[in-house]
Amino acid sequence: MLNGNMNKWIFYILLTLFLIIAPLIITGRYPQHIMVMCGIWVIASLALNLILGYTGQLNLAHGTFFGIGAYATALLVQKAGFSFWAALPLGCGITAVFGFLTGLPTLRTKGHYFPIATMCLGIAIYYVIARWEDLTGGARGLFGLPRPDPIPLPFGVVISFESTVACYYLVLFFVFVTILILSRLVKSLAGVRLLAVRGNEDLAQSLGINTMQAKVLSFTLSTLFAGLAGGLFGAYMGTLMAEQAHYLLSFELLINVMIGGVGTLAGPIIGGILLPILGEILQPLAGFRLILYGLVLILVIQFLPLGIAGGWRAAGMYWSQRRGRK
Amino acid sequence: MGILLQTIVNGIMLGSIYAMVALGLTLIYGILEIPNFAHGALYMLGAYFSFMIITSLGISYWPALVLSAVLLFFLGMLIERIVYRPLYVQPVINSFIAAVGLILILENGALAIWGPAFRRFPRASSTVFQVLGTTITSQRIIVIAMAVVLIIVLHLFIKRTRLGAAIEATSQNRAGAQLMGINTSLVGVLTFGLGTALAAVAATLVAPILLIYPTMGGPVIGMAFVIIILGGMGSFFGAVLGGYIIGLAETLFSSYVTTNYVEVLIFGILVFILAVKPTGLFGKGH
Repeated sequence: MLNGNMNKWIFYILLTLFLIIAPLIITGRYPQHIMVMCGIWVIASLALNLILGYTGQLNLAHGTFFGIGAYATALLVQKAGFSFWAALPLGCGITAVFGFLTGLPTLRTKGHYFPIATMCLGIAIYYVIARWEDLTGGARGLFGLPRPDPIPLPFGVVISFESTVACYYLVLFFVFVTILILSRLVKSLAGVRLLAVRGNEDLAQSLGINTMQAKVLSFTLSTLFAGLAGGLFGAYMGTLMAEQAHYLLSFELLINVMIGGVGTLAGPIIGGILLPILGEILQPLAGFRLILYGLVLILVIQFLPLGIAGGWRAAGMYWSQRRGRK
Repeated sequence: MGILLQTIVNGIMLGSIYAMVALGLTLIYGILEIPNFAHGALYMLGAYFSFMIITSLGISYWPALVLSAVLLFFLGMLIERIVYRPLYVQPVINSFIAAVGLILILENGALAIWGPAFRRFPRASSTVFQVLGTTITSQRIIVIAMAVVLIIVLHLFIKRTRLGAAIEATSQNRAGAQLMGINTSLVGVLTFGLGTALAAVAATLVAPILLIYPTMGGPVIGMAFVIIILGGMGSFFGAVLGGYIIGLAETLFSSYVTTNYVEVLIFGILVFILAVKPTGLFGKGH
């Protein structure tokens, strides 16, 4: 057991070191751009997994909250003149307030209301963003968004975010922050409460767990991190379109989590890295890519409900059992 | 006065479409307890099937409507068997996610076959009536009348036939229905087909008035869900009444306030219902 733990820590440390030196090995703007995007999708997928995987509530508007965070941060910088470093936490806060206010009426009831309500919210917000020309630029979108402001350090050193590599480290930093906070949360008592809600809401309630509070907390936090991913996306890409709040984005994030492995910590990380890369490879397929994703999603749910991470774990258990028998 | 009358006619027309789509959705929900998120995509497919049958096979409007409904009936049954049935043993949330997969397949399939362009649908008839200073096209009257006929026929079917009684019994109490010797699995698959066929009829009826495009199901499915929550999930009359209420609310809001934020109004209604009375007007309650 101790040995297994040691192996795990060595694996984590090696992985971290690899991620830090990765831009030195993988050069070229295009692969580095994909690495930045993967980081952003990992943050958004981890956030979705909190409410979907650990709390058992299907949010069909996760992409919408990503979009809200992206637009809020970008508008604070572009129209209100805030520094990016003030706009990002504010943007996350605004997204979380949206999440909290959506969660209050929709999470109150058990059953199917939450996915339905979030889907309707997703459709409504998309049309608001697409049509509110004065604020969001409507169908044209927002463009010319600045990269994050440079951070001055002592001795005249300045960290600027003009290069893709600098953005990679910025996103990587937030990936680590997200993993740290969410993994701590999931393993804490609050996390156990969430799992109880997922398992059996009535039972959890009868044990004295305030299930409503647990669900709203999980949802609000989840939307906060979705907003973080969105804020980073806008600053990195420099442009925002209404598509960044479309339900298709919610679906793609859902696919990341489901194929990677819902309810596992590794799952959204695997999905958030694998699927954007797959998306780039499958670019020539155009629309057929999404048909394929739909098929894979249905097959994964039917035959591998815990995705790659769950399948890996099951395979590991199978082998160790076989070895044990010998 | 003229504008108000026009708006009300449009509202009732839209409400008729919503009522039919919501009725299919609520029937399926009543039996299988899954909110079929792919219902809007099937609605879209119904419109495209009719469009193809009319333009490629040269068949006229009404036979095309029937043919499209029959095709969607079988497609609905196929989807229930292949996609949803294996998931009944799993947590319900997995069925919702499977529906997302279905939407991706159907919408992008339509996009690949027919392209993103809006398409104009041939009309069944193009007579125009002048009533109290307003112009009303005959297609609008056809939609309204057909919806009333279909709703009454469907109601009689559920109340007067053996199969209808089996559907109602299964939706009231699945285990009880099973104990009475009702084949609930068969009832489930037939209801799924029926609800889907209804969506195809609604889409074909309204297609000559609105344009058809691959993502046309999105806004409609959002409205249909608000309607069945307003009416009470699984309630027949709730879906019909809710359909007309939302249809009228939407057109009145569009002509007198703004056309841009109708979806926000509808979402506001949804939040209001969830906050005040989540079981809706005629809901069974928890």
